[in-house]
Amino acid sequence: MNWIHYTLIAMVLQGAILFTVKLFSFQTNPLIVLLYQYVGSVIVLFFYILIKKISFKINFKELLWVFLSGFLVSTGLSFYYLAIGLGEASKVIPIHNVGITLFPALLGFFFLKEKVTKKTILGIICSIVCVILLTI
Amino acid sequence: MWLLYVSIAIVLMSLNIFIVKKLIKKVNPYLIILYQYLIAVPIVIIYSLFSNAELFTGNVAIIFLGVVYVTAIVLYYIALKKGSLSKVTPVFNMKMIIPAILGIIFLSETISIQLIIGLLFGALGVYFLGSDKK
Repeated sequence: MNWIHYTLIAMVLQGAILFTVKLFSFQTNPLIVLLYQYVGSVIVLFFYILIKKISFKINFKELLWVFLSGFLVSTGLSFYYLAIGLGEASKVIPIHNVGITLFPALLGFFFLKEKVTKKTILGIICSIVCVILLTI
Repeated sequence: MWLLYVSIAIVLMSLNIFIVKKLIKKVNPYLIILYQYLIAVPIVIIYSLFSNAELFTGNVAIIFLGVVYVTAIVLYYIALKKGSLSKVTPVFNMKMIIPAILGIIFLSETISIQLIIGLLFGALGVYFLGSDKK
């Protein structure tokens, strides 16, 4: 399998989660939904790593980067939910989705020197149009 | 104010995925997610308390969604290891296609022209990004 297969499966699973969470969490604060998902994920991962006998060892420098990454994703999602609470979801969600599609792509182009091809540009534009049309 | 918050969210989450892209070459994706979430749990608890959310009000079934959630993120990180950031993230972020389709199937939501055009653009996006071999 190459990257597109992994991404599509991941996309479908994440999309299904979005739908399921939407179904039974109308009354729940989104931060609590996020917290419960993280707790479930930690439990599952812990046992999976144990069963698969993957070493828990990680060097200190990498651990610091992973912790920074964990701080960024949790703080980022918390700000997103705060924005939804303050603004109209029909504005916040499209802006957020376009941002998290475009900004990492730009980071890839500028800092990782990834190739900018016509197909990549067209693909990014199409995905942004798709995201806007599905969320406004 | 909401625009500032959503801008902060975009920058932080994009920087996160950039760091993951750098880390994933050396560290097992399962370990990255485990340690990420171990630090994320207390942080989200603190933010929840600040926003006056009651910690024990959620449906416990959401915890079980963690299984699917973590599988999706692991696959996403593996894709990041194999593919480029500028291709993987746009495809992955089209995930809202799925609730739209499931809404039509299970909740009998209406099929609008906007939705059909959105899905077509999504398919085109996957085609362009997936068929680009460079």
